Amino acid sequence: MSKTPREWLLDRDREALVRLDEIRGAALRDERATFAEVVAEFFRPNLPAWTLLAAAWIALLGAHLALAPYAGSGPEQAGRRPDLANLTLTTDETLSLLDPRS
Amino acid sequence: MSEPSQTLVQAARHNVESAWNSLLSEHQLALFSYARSLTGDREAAFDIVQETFSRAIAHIGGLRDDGRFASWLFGIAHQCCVRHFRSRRRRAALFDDAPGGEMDAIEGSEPDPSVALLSAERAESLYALIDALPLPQRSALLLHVLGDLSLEEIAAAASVPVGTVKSRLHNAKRSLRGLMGRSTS
Repeated sequence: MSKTPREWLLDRDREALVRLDEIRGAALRDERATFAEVVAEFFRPNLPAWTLLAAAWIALLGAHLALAPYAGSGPEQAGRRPDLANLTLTTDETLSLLDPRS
Repeated sequence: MSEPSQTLVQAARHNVESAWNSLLSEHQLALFSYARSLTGDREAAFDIVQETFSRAIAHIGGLRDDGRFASWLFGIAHQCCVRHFRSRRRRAALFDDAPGGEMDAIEGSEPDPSVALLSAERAESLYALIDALPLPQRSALLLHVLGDLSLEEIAAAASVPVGTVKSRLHNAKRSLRGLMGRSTS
């Protein structure tokens, strides 16, 4: 059976197919990992800064939950009410300072 | 390109792994053969194929016509070969112990075909005859035969006018005929 010039040329390198299959598999694996790598590369250069920022956000979230007026209505929350009253009073005082008639 | 391949390209655009696997598998041997024939270096050819795959996957958005996937892929491989020659020339300049004219040949000026004719007198096979062709002719011929690229597609891949591609292909075929005549006589 006669071969085309293309087939003749390809036959010369056919033994490379095994390694080419490996290279193709690796390229596709790299592509799968791309999203995770992009995320990792985004955070990695400034990891301490991102860690501090995350800690600050967690602290703020904790403070927000602790200070929210509807955070809880059970008997265990009763002890916090004076603090909330003080906070309201402080806010009123601040507003009164801003009032030009005062 | 056939209709099923265009469907594969569309799927590849959406990062469907099986589509990429089929497309790259279909062209990998021809890409390797092209890179190896151009560089004359098996290891470099494997590196070029690897880089071509990575670039194709990363830049599939740059492909304008799904029907031209093969020529687009060979264009990437061609550019990778050019980069290979550039880095080889840089290394040669650093160590000053190796010739580095291949990139000039592939990018533009035509070297004297008589050099290839003389060296091919000892060639024993068609492969050796092709390898003896000047780089621009070899590149055009292999893109035409291996990649099944049209004149326009070869011109786009090699960043040269269509007329230059015509001339290179014509010269390549003429040189091959001459080389085959000499090697069989």
